[in-house]
Amino acid sequence: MLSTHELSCQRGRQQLWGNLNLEVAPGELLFVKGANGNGKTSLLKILAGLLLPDHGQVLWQQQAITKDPYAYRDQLLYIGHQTALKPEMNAIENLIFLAGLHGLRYSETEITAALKQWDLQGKTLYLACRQLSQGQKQRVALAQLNLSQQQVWILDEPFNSLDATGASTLAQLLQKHLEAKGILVLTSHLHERGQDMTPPLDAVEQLLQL
Amino acid sequence: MQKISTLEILLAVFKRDISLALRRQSDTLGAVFFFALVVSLFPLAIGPETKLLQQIAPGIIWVSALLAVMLSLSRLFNDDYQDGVLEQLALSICPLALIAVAKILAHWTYTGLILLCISPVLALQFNLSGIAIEVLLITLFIGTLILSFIGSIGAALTVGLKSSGALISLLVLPLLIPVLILGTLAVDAATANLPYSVYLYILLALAVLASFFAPLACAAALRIALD
Repeated sequence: MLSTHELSCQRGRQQLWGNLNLEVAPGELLFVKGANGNGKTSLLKILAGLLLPDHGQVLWQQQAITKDPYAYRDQLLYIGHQTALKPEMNAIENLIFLAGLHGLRYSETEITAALKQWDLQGKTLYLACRQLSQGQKQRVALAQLNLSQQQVWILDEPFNSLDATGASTLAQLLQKHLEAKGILVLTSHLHERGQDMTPPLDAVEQLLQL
Repeated sequence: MQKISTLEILLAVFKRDISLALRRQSDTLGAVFFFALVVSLFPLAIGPETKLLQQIAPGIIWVSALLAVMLSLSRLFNDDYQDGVLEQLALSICPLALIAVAKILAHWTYTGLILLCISPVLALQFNLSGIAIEVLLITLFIGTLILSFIGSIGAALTVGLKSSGALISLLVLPLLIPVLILGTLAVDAATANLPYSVYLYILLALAVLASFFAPLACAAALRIALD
């Protein structure tokens, strides 16, 4: 279980949000909503352990994540704003490297299969990532989800720059993760824009309005 | 899917950095060209005065190596920061300080080691004796390692800044001056047929210190940069 204890975050002198007590149990989704600049990304980074909160703690299995960060990171997949793909390397090389950082090694066939779920195949896989479109890069980054062995997924605006088919592929994946008792934290601003591309995930959903 | 050990993760980081360096050769070779050019311009400008050339050779080769390494440092962590890979490195199950070691060693391989390989040829222009070239190589081997390790602290502290080159030099050069002095002293001593091993031992001691503390400092600085 991922939980927080009296978490608060400051940017400069301004308090973005404070006294946050969250509990996300396995199979639950925490959906973080809020206007630009309200600290959605900061919250996600704090939950991932990239940022230290000004006050409070993030707890994984009732233990502060700062206490044994490696046990937590072993179970964590964080995909941020930036896709973390090296522009000089191709999709397969990038995914092999990113999985390697989590101590996992995949064969090229496994990676190709994951990318195929995202309609990426053939020559595209061998193009340097700088030649891919924004949407394709996002798909490559999200293919990490297909390969993931981690229980906690923290995704910052994963629906960004995806088209309708991409969005439904992602929604299915997220649904599957939740059904497999995964924990999911995500932000998306698509709801506000009225173009509701996020198909409803029927899971215990907690909505957090920042 | 297989599990891999920490050592294999580090090896993957090392290999990736090397392969990235090979893919942007103009950047990688830039530092090496700079080194070769500066070192070979001096004998041309000064003329064939053997004694004088022998005297200034260690200083010139060392200063050029120092500046060449400085030039190549600004991209060490900055590229990974720009495309978000640094976040993933920080979230790896492998400690960030060890990942920094892998990156620094890769940096040394594609700068220091190449400088080392071409310096005997360049040293010939200064009419250095065989033993002096040998000592020069040994000091450069240890010295460039120290340059990469200590320089990486500057690179980590300036991650995210637009033009970090000058700032890195300003931060790191004072720390590197002892290395410069010891390196040139050792070669001078060898040229004059004096014992030089004491300088090598001090250089080695500095290398051990730098390789232990610099990665820790890097990891701390990188975590601040991600904030």
